[in-house]
Amino acid sequence: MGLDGVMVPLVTDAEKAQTAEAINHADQLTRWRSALRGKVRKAGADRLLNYVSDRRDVSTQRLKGRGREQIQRRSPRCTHHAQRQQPMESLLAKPFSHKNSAPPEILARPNVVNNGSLLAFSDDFSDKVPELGGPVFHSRRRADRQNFMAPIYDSSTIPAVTVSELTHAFKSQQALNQVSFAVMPQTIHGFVGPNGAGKTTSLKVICTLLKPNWGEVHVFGHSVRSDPTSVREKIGYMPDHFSMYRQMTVFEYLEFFAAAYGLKQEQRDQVITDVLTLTDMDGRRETLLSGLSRGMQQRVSLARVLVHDPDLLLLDEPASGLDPRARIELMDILRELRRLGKTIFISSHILSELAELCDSVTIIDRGHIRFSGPMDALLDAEQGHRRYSVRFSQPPESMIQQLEGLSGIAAVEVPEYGSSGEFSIELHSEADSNLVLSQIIGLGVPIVSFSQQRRQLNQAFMDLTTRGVPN
Amino acid sequence: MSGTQTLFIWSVKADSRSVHPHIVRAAFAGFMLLAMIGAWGTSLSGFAPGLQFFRYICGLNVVIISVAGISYFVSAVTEEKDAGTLALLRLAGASPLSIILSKSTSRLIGSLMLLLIQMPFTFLAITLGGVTWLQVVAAYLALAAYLCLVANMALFCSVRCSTSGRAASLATAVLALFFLGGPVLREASLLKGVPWLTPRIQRACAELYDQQQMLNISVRLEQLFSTMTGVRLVTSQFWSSLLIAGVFFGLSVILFNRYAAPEQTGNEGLSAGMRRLSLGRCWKLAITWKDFHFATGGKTFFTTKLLAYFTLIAALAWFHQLESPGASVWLSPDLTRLAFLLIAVAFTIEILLFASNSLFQEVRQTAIPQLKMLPLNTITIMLQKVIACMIALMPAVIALASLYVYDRMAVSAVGRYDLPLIRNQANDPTGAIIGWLIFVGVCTHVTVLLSLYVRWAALPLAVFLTVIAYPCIGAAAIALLEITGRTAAVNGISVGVRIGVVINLFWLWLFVLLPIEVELVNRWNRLSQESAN
Repeated sequence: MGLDGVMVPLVTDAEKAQTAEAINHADQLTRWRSALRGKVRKAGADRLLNYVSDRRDVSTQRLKGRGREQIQRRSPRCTHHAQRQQPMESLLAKPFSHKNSAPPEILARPNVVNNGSLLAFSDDFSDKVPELGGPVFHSRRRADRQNFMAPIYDSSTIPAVTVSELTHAFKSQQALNQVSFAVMPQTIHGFVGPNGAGKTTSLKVICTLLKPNWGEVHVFGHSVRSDPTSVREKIGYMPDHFSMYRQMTVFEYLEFFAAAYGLKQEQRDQVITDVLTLTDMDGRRETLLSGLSRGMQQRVSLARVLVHDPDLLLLDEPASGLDPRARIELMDILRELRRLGKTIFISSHILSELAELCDSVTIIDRGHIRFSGPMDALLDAEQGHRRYSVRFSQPPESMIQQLEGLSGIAAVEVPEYGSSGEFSIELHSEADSNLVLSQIIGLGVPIVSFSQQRRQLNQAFMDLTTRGVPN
Repeated sequence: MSGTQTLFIWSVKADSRSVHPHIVRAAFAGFMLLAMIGAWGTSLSGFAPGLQFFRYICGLNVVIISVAGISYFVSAVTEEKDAGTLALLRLAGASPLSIILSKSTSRLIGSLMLLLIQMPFTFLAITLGGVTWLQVVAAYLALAAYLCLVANMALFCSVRCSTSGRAASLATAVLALFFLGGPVLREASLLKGVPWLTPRIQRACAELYDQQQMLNISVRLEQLFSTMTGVRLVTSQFWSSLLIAGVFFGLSVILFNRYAAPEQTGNEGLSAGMRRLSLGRCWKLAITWKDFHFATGGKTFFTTKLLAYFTLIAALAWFHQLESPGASVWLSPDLTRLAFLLIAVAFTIEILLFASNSLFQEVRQTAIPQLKMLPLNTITIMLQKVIACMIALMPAVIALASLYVYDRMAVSAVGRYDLPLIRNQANDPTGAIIGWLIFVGVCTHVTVLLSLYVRWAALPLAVFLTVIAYPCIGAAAIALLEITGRTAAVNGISVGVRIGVVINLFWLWLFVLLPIEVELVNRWNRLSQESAN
């Protein structure tokens, strides 16, 4: 990059701006509350709002850099309320520091520079953590790598998860091969790949269940290798084949985990009620787990990973086996959790939902990262020409010929699964879309819609991954 | 029959491919060889140890078959129920007979193989003297019949119950009733002065006792060992066992469809209030709370056991009062020892069952990754589990402690009260207590470790391995105790025996238990990783 190495200062204008943004978030809470109130139908809505409010405050406090020791996450009721009473000005007066949330080795690295709104890295570091420098495409041949510098994150953002050169093998089978990516805090990061690509192995390494053969993984600055206990306190992991103590009721199950995470008895009732409300399971608290449907068990499993208020949720195929309604509701819950300040790392095969849900995505295939970066960068990545979709109300039979005759249009085709009257047009790279649109209007055929076509995630997935399962 | 054949061949193939059964058989053969060498060494000093050796082997077989019945055979059908695959087998068109034949016969054959490999070694015992080939063959026929009886009884329990745990409990209860029923029936038939025990009832008890004795493998083996002439290859024990085994098998086939339906789940059982009262709130030691309530039976089972132990003591006291109306003590020395031994045996069985179930339950429910994700290290998790088991064992401890206190009070109250538990110098209990500690310590550790390796049968395997290892460890312990005691006596140290006990326990922990504990933690960690693949 050719930039001189400069330490990230503890207090910068950008960070102050972020603090102001945090206050703005708090102001938005009222609007958000009213929006949420409309969605929640149950009698426990107020409690949910309290839960949301408390956790929003926690997120706000974190943004203000007040540190973990001041937040005291394990007594949310008593401490958060007190903190809410403090005026924002007094919080602003305190110096902004990431000392409790940033990976110390990243902060200490002299090659991390602050370049306004753009975080840039010297070559060696950006190689290891490509997402920090923007999305990185890896074609099936590594020589075809393309780098894009299209950052979506603020310079002060520190990754929630940093995976660097991660390599792991099961006996003779190479599951992960120099995998590197990063997950930004308070985002939903999709993790997709074919069967046997290494998704679950990566997740298991991140959640400390598996020790990597090679490479480093840090979760909020804590190494999974040397400090797994601290990592476990910060994460909630929901495996794909989750198991439950089927002879317990929902409440007993959640209380067991709450107690195991060290919550005091007086806190457990409130926390369990909150997470059950959040997952819409508050009416089932006395039901035996063996009597729940799979969808309900998924919800309880999600509630379980929330009882200790983790910063990072690792969800492995959370929507598998769920009916469409349950899937949609699950996605809503995940969005709400993101708003509450959680970072969500989700592995899933349901690409259409991931495309709507995720801020960023990593595509892995046969143990190699094929893409890692913002979802928009993946979907907007064009193959040389821009595509638009135009739909007419009653197009004549010669519509294709008429469109092909317009200047700036390279090709016209009828999409295989498009609506009636819909055409897909491909513009020359230098063509002006407004000019083309005015020409189409000039044809005199009533237009229903005209929009740019984005590449679908499943198309990108097919382009970037290899057919078949690895041997 | 093609379905039956397919399932049977599949079961036999699975058994033959698995390395564990072959290891067990090889270990058993090796053990037999070692025992033979030991017996040969004894014969050099002029004794004829063949019979004693053979008696020991037969007793060991009875124990192993009984333990296998309550742990290995009971899972024949319930393992399919536990895994939810029984419905798939039925959907595939397998009839109850096919399923039962294929699932139980392979296990039965595997166990008969264990008996078969002993035959050549036990024939060598004939050369040591004291036993004839006819006795050997008759003993193995009796054992095979007992094996069939136990296997089919366990199969019936497996068909009848919805989970392996319940089936094991039922099979244990049936076996306990069978073996304990004999003495109780005999006493009932001889008891005098009890109004409700009419002569008719006593005659019925006597007849039942005769039947029980006829069926009892221990009685049959004693008959075989008591005489070398006029030995019959098969007796009524053989035919009765096979007949009852056949009845159990038939019942299993007939009732299979009735009890094959998956367990009804939902909100049945205790109401929320009662359940909350029974379970209480989760303790600070969450894993201890979970294991106490969901692995060891909880408060209900705790209370039931406490009542059962004190009911036993009360029954023996009542019995003593019937026999000796003017007795100055509640319990005679013999009955006190009997009560102590019965409760100690129950205590030991409880320990071993908890050991086999504690971690295995986590494996079966694939819950190890969940526990591993908690901010607790593996040792803390294990310790919390141990505490749960210790709480669940408290009823037996309380009962044993009560008997001990009663013994002390009786000794002080009645000067010549000769209680064998403590005061009988000819039968010093120190060695027995140390021996018991060694057995339980080693066996529980091996059981827990094996429960992380094998699906079922960890307990019989552990008992078997401990019995093999016991002579070595026990002999070393007793020798060390003796050396320490004598050295202390020579040097005028009065607490010599106690020092010996402490040293014994320390080396046992250091050289035997600690390596097992290390491997236990490693295996636990490996299992949490294996679940990732």
